[in-house]
Amino acid sequence: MIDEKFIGREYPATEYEIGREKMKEYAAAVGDMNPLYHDREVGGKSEYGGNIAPPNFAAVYNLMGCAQMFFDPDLGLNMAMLVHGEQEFEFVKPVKPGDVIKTSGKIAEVKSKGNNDIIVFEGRSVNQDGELVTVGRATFVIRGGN
Amino acid sequence: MADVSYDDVNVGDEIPSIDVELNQMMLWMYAGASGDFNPIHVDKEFAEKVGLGGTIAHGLSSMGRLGCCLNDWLGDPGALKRFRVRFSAPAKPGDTITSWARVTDKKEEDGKKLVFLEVGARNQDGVEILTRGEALVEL
Repeated sequence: MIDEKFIGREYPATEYEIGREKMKEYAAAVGDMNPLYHDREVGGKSEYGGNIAPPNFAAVYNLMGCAQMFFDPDLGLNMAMLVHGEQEFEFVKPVKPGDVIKTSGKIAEVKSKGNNDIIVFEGRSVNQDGELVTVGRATFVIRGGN
Repeated sequence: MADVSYDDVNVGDEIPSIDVELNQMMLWMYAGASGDFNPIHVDKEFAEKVGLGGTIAHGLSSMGRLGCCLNDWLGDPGALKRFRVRFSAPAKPGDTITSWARVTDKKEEDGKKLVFLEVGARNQDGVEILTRGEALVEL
């Protein structure tokens, strides 16, 4: 059982600079070869004025802060039994190479379901201009309870 | 601008699905690209020892492949506004994973043309890998 008092607990923001080659590598790893990610000409002519990252690249920059929750000694999560149960992303604005993304993370939800404990990490990512780019909600399940 | 036009989309439409046969190299590539080197994804011996019967793919990589299915249809990945899945069963090297999506609703709201889809992924035996999937796109 995870104490409900942890709902709302915030973690220090993480910072991630979007690298052109790194986002291309991510796209290639999932087989998503849209030219908007890598073709400078296609990107330049698009409404974005340049290349953009694959939406799911958020899996990298939006989830970085999770580690702080995983290893939070107050929570004492049983990592051996923890699995990623669900993931939700809200894509507010595309991110681009060179963007410096700051993600603030917090525990959005704590609950028990059957024998399992559930904890939800919410990350809000903003770019260097302070614009909200992505909101992520990652649901983790501790099988057999914490 | 998306390749798909709002007027051409109908509730019930199935968008082209994608089949991918997974291999260990793909799992290593995803580990490198994402920075997630959890041994259950990259170390066969370890994954066997903890009872998984071998390595399993990163859940987020299956989500990424499903996203690719949507992005290929859209043309413009920036049109994808919301995307959620549940990781219901592991995908493993040797599996052929089918990513699919179907239009469930469309409506105009505050001048935005929105299309809602049910999305998911299953393996060659019909086991659902990604369930309760939903996507919202703006055309």
